[in-house]
Amino acid sequence: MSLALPAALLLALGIGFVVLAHALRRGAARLHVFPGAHLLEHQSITAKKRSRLEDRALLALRSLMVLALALLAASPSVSCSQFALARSSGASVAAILVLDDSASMAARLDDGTKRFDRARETASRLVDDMQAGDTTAVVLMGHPARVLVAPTHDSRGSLDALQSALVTERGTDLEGALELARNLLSTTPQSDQRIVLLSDLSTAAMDEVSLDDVVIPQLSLTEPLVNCAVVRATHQGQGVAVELACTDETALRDRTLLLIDEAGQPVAAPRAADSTVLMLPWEGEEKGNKSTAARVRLSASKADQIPEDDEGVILQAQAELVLGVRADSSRAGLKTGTATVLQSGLESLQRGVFVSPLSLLPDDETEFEPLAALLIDDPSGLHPEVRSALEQWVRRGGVAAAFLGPAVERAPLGSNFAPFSPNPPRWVRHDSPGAPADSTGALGPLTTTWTDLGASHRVEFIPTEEMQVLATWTDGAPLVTSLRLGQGLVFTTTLPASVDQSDFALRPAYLELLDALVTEAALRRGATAVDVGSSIAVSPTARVWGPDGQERPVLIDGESTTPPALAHFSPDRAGLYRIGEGNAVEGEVSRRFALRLPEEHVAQPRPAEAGASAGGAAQTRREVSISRHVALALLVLSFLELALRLLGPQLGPWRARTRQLSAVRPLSS
Amino acid sequence: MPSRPASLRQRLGSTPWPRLRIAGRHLAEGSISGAHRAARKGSGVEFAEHRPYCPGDDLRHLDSHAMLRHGRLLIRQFQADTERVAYLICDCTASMAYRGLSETEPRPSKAEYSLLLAAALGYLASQGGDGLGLSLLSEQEHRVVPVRATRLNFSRVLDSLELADERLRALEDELDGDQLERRGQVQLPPDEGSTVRLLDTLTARLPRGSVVTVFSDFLQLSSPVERALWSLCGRAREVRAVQVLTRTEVDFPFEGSLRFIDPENRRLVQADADSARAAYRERLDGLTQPLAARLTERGGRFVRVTTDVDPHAVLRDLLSPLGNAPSPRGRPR
Repeated sequence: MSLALPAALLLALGIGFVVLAHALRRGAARLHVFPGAHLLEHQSITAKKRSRLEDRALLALRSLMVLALALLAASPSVSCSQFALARSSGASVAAILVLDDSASMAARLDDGTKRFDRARETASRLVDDMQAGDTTAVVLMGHPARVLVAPTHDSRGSLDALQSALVTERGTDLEGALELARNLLSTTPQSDQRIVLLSDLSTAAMDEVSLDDVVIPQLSLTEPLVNCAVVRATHQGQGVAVELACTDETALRDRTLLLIDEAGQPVAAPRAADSTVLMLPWEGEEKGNKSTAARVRLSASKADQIPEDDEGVILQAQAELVLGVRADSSRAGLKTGTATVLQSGLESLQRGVFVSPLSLLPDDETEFEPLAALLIDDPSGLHPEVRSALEQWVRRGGVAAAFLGPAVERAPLGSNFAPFSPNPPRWVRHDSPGAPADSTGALGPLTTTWTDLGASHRVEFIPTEEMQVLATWTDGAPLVTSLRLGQGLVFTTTLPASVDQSDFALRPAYLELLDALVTEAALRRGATAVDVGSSIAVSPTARVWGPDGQERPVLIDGESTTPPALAHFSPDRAGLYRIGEGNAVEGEVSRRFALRLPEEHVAQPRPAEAGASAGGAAQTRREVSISRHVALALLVLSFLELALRLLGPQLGPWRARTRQLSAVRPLSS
Repeated sequence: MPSRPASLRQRLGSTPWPRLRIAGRHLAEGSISGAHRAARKGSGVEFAEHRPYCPGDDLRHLDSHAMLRHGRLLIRQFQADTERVAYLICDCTASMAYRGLSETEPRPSKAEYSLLLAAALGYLASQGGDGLGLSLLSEQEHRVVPVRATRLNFSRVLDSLELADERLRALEDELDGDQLERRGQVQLPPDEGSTVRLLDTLTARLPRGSVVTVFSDFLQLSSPVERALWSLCGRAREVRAVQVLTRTEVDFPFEGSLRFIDPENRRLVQADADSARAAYRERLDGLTQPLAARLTERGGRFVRVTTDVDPHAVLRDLLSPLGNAPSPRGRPR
C-alpha cells in the first residue's frame, strides 16, 4: 500500500487524545449519594471506577476511527496484481495487444483456468483501463497472425471481441503477429505507442525476433507443460497407425489408446500407449465389424494439461502404400537373389506395401506423388533438381530415408546430401563397435541389437538441433537420425544397408527402423491432411464447416471483389473440414483434415525474463485508490460508536445506575 | 415530556384510606369531647352526636336504633368523651430526599413516603375529631403547626406537609454527587440542639395519652435526640417511631470499589462495597436498637419500613394496637 500524503498519518496521534479522555473519565471511582455513608468504614485503597464493557469498546472504536481518519487523509492506494500501462505525462496511448491463441495456450494452470483465459483477462483489463482518446487493437498470435480488433477508441467493442475470442490449435506466429502490430501502430496518431505481448512464450521465435518495443507482462504462465496429444491417426491395412506427441514419459504413463465410433462408443479393446508411434489392430467393416472406427482417444490423465488434444480423427489411408527404393543391387544386393537388402527388408514386414525399385531418383515433384516413402541406399549426393523435388514432396507428407555409406565421398559437384545431412558427410574409420548396450533409442528396445556391428567405417556428420537422434554409436556419434520437414519426415543412417560394410541390416533393429518408416509413411498417406493454421484454397463461393459442425469464415484473397479470384480458409482446430456449396449435407464437395502441430502441443513456456533479456520488455503496476473503502469503514465505525453509546448502559454485567426524576407514582396501586 | 409529579394532596386523595382510628394504649386526657375514652368518669354524661363507627370503637356505644334506621353503624358520642392528640413529627432533612437506586420502576423518596403516611394519619385524626399537630424538622428551621382539633387545622397541617414535600423534591435535584463533592465537607457538626429543644417542648405541652408518631430515617440519631424521644414517652404518651428507609439503604446492593457522599454533611467515604456490606448492615441495625428498646419499655413502638412496602399496610399496622407492621425483609422487629 502506498500513501499520497504520508504526513497525514500524523493525525493518528489523535489516538492519544482519545486514550487520555477515556483515562481521565476513568480517573475517580463512581460516586454515589448515600445517606448512610457515615456508617461505612473509610478505606484507603484507591477506588477505581469499574470499567464498563462499553467503555473499552468505545475506546477501541474511537481509536480505530482516528486511525481510519488519518489513513483517509493520507490517500492510500494499493498496487494491484493486474497489469497496467504506465502513462507518460498523461498523453493518450495507442496500445496493440498481441494475444496468443495458439494450441499451447489451452494448457490448464494450477487453478484450472487456461493460459489463454488468463491472458485474455489481462487484455480485457488493459482495454478497460483505456481512457478517452486512447486507441486499442488486438492481434491474435496463432498462425497465421490475424487482427481481431482493428485500432479503435471503442473500448466496449474491443471487450466484446475479446470475450468472443477462443483458444485454437494453431501454431505460434510471433513474427507475423509483431509485424501486424507494428503496422497497426503506424496507422495510429498517438505518440505514446505500445505493443503488449500476452503469451506463454513457448516458441523458439522468441530468440529470433526483436522485442525491444514490446511489453511483456508477467502472466505467471511458466508452469511446465505436461501433455500428450494425438497428432495423427491413419487407417492403413489391418490397423490404425497412431502418432502421439508427448512432453515426456510422465505424460504417457499408464495411458491407453481406444478406437471409438462416431457416437463415442469403443469398437475395440484399449491398448496400452507405450510408445508415441504405434499401430492399433483394426480390420474395419470389411471384416464384419458393425461399427466404424472414426476416432482414436487417449485415456484421460490428471497430469495432462490439454485434454482437448487427446482425441483425433482417423484418416482413411490409400489401399496400398507405394515405397520407392533406390539402391544399387551390386553393392546392396542379397547373395540369395536380385532384391536389395532394403527391398527384402520392406517385404519381410508384411505391411501390405508395394516396393517400387527406382533406377533413378525423380527430379520432378509429380514423380514423387505416387510414393508414400522413398528409401535411398548409399547415395552419392542429390542434384539440386532432385533435392528440390524431394523436399517439396517431403513437406507435403512424404517420408524419405537415406542409408549413407561410402558413396558420400564420391559426391559430384553441385550435389549435396540435404535434407539428410545438413553438412558434407564423411566416410571415416572409427573404433566404435556399435550402439551402446544400455541404450533404448526412439526405435524401441531393439536398438540394443546394434551393439556389435562390425563396421570399420561409418559416415559422420554434425546433426542440427532440429534433428532427432534415434540411435547413437557408443562414442555418441549419431547412428540414426530423423528430421521433421513440413508434413514429412526424413531419416538418415550413418551406415549403408549393404551387408558388406556391416551387420547393420542384419539386426532386428533394422527391421524396427523399416517398420517405423513404413508407419510414418502410412500416417501421412491418409486423406488429404493439412496443418492447423495453414491456408486451404477454396472457391470464393465455397462454404466450410469445421469439426464442430459450425461454419467457418472463407476469406477472399485480394482487394478486388469483381470478380473475386481466390479464397481460402484456415483451420483453427484439428479434425475434419467439409468444403462445399449450399448446406453441409447436400453440398459437400471435398474434405480436408487438419492435423495438430506436434511441437505446439509439447513446447514448454518461458518466463517473461527470457523475452525481456532479448528485447528489453518493461511492465508497470496499477495503483488503485482505496480511499473509498477507508471512508466506508469510517462510516461503519461511526454508526457502531453511536450504537454503543446509546445501548451501552444496557450492556454488560455492570449496569449504570442513574437517578431518574420521573413522575412519582401515586402510592395507591 | 415527563409529567408533573402528583402533589401530596393528589396522592392523598387518589385512593380511599381505610377507616381507622388512631387508638392509643393509654387513656386520653383532654378538655374537648373526643373519640377516646376519657380518664375522668362521671355522671351527667350527655349524648353529643353520632359519628361513623371505626374499628376499635367501644361496641357499648354502638347505636342499634340508628343502625336499623339508617342502615349504618354509628357510635354515640358523649360529651364526656375526650379528644386524643395526634402529633406528627416529620424529618425533612436532606437525607429524606433520597430515593435509592432505581430498579425496574421508580420508588418514592423517603420524604414522599413518610409525608404521605403523616398526611394520612393527620386525615384520620381529623376525621376522628382528634387534635392534630405537626412539627417538621429540617436543617435550617423547624416548622410547627400547633395542636388544634378543627378541620381547618388539618388543612394547615396538610399545607405544611405539602410545602415540605415540594421543598424536598426540589432538594433532590441538588443531590448530585459531583456537586456535593465540589461543595466540600461540612466542617461543623449539624445543630441538633434545636431538635432537642423542640422535643422537650412537646414533652412539656402534649397532653396525657397523646400519640406521637415520628417519621425519620434515624440515620443521624444522636444521644440527646434519643434521650428526648424517650422522655416524650412520659405521661402516658405513646411514641411511635417509624424508621423510613429505602431498599437500597437496607440491602446495600452496591458492588465494587465506590465512593459515597453523605447528602447532609457531604462527608466522602471510599469503600469496597462487597467487603463493607456486612459491617454496614450491622451498624445500621445497631444504630436504632437502643431507641427501639427504650420506646418499647415505655409502651412505645419502633417500626422500620421501606419505601417499597404498601403504605396502606403500614398505616394499618401503625393504627392497630396489637398488630405488627410489615417488617423490612429479613429484619425481625
